[in-house]
Amino acid sequence: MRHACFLTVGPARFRIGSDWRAPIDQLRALYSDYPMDEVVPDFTVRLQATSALRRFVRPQVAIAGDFTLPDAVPLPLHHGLLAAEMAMNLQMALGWRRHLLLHASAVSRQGRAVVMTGVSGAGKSTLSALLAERGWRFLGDEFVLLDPETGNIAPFPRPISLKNAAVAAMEHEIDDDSRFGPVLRDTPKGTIRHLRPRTEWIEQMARETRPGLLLFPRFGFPRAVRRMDEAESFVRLTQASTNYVALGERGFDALTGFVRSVPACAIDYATGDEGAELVERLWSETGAGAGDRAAAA
Amino acid sequence: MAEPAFAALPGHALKRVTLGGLEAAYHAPSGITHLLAEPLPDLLDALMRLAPGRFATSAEIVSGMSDRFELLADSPDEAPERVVCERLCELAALGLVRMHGQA
Repeated sequence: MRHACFLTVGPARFRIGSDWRAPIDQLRALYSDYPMDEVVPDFTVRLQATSALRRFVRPQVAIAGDFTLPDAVPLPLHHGLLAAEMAMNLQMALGWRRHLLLHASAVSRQGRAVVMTGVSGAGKSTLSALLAERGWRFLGDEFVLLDPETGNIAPFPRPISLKNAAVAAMEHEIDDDSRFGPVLRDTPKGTIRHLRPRTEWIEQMARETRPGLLLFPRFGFPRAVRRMDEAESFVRLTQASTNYVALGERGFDALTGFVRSVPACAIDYATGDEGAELVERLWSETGAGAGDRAAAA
Repeated sequence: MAEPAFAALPGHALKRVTLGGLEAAYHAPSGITHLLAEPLPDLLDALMRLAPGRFATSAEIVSGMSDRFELLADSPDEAPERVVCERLCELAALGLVRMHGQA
C-alpha cells in the first residue's frame, strides 16, 4: 500500500493501508488523540482501487483486508474515511474473538456502564454522544466488548458516527468545530459526520468497567418504558452480537451472565433530550444503586 | 416396536441457565443455544436424577416426577405418559437427550 497508518482503539490495533493519501490524512486527523504506534496489528485494512484506472478516474474505494464481504459495494473516494470506518467495523464484527461483541453503545458513571442496543436508527449513537457531553464517560457507540472471563466491558471509544438529524443536534450541543470530522454527504446512510470523543475518554480506554444497566432504546416513538425480562434480553442480544455463535460456550457464559447481572428496559422516546432524561431517571432508579455499591466495595 | 427410553446427555454436553421463567440451554456438540419453556427443564431434571447412562421410559419418568408434581394432561383423554413421551422425543430430535427404541 502506498499510504498507511496504525491505530489503537481500546484493545484492538489496526493497520490501515490505502492507494490514496486523502483517507489516511483524514483518519490521522480524526484519530489524532489515539495511539498510532507501529505495533503488530490485530487487523489489516486496505482501501484499494477497484482497478488501476479507478485510482485516477472517478476513483472508487474497495474495502479489503483480513475480513471482507464479497458483495460490498465500493465507495467514491470522497467517502474514503467512511470506507475506512466501515472496514474497521467489519474486522471487529467478523474477526474479534477476545470479547463477546454486542452491536451497542455504552456510557458509564461511577464505574458502572449503561449499555444501549438496537437496530440502526434506534438512536444508540446519538444517546451515547448526548450523555457523554453531560457528565458520562463514553465507552463506545458501535460495539460493546464484553470480557467472557470477567464480565467487564472493555471500552472501544471510536469516533461517534452521527447520521442525518443527529449531526445538527450534536453540532448544536457542542460549540467546538474541532471535535467534528468532515461532513460526508450522500453516503448509503445519508449524511454522516464523526464526532471525536473527548481526550480523557481516549486516555482512559484501557480501563474496564462493570455493566450496570441494559437499555433497548427506540427513537421517534411516544415516551414509554417497559421492563424487559432476562429471556427476552438474552434473545435480543444474541441477535445483536456479531460473534456469539463463533465464541461457543464462552459466548453463552458471557451473555447469560450479563443479562442476569443487570436490570433491562426497553425505552421509547421522541427527542434526544427526552431519551437522555429517561436514561438518567432509570439510572438513578436502578444502575446508580449498583454503582454506589461498587464504589463502596 | 420397543417402547422408547430416554437418558440425559453427559453433564458437559449440555449447559443450562435459568433466565426468568425460561431456560437457556447450550448444546456443546452442536454449538446451538436453545430456549426451553416448561415442562422441558423439568423433564431434563428428571433424567439428570437417574444414574449416569441409565435409560428410562416415559412411564418411569412420570412415576418419578409424580412425587414432585401433580401431572395433568390438557385433555382428560390424554395420558401424561404419552405427553411426556412426545416432549422427550422432541428433545431427542434436537439432540438434547439420548433415546433408545422407537415408538
